[in-house]
Amino acid sequence: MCSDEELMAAVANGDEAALAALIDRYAAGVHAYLVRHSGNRDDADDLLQETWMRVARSAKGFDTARRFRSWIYGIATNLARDLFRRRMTKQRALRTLAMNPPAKPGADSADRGELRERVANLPENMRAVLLLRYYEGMNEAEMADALEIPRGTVKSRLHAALRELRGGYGVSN
Amino acid sequence: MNCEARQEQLERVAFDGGIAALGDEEREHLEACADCSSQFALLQQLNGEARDAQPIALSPQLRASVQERATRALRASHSSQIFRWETAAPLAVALLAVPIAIGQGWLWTHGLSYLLEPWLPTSVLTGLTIFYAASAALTLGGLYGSLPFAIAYANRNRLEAR
Repeated sequence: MCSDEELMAAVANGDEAALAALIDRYAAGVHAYLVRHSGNRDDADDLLQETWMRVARSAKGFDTARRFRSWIYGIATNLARDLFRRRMTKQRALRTLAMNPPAKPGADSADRGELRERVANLPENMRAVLLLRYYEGMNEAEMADALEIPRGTVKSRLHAALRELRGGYGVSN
Repeated sequence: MNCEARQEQLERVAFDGGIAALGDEEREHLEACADCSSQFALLQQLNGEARDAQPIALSPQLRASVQERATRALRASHSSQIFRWETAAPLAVALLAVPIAIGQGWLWTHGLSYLLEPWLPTSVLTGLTIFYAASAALTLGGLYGSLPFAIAYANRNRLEAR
């Protein structure tokens, strides 16, 4: 079986079957990550399509020394971050217009558990680290590669995210 | 080892194997330290939450749509055809428009200079001419400068929509 990086090298040469094989391997996982990251399935569907289009467009420039998994999660994270920023800007503009009180992100998901709710309400950069670590099972090096930040920053963000989660959260011992 | 370093270590331990992976020293510390104990409980809950999370299904329709759009994007990125008649025709018109725009500019400036010369001093006329020429040049420059981007965008959209 070909490695992800070998498949990606084939995609760079225009191999559509290799692209399909990568989609088979990663589409479901990236989709689940995007659903958790964006908190909205419709947004995640759009982001997933955009992610794979970027993969296809950027295939020629892919550095095969890099791990494909980190790379694609990095693309997905960047797109989700862009969406988050656009959404925040829009919400701020709407709040200014309507003078509404700020809505808590993720407040519509009443069926989520408390922990999930708190993860969803974390700042975007902390949420990304936490989701990659716990839901995608990435180690520090993979997270650093995906997010294109130093390992020290990954550690500090993870630490800050856990501290944020603990703040006001009733952990039962 | 202080609690901050200990909690970093606990994060790795909890991630790798949970409570079973704890050493005796770590267990003793957890029993004595409420802060680290609370942190470890949170880590375990996070692990449990991630492990037991409901699977998020990818619908076959979405899967097919992803593949279709990604394949189109891949084909588009391998297409070497840059110029087509849809883009070549506006380019030709734009090229022809240059002498017309310059000619029109010349006509306006000279015509107005001729008409206004008896009433306005030369310095004002020169200023007006410079202002007109500069604004026309900026507009044309902006317009022509944006052409490559418009062509690239149109090409990409066309190829991806195929």
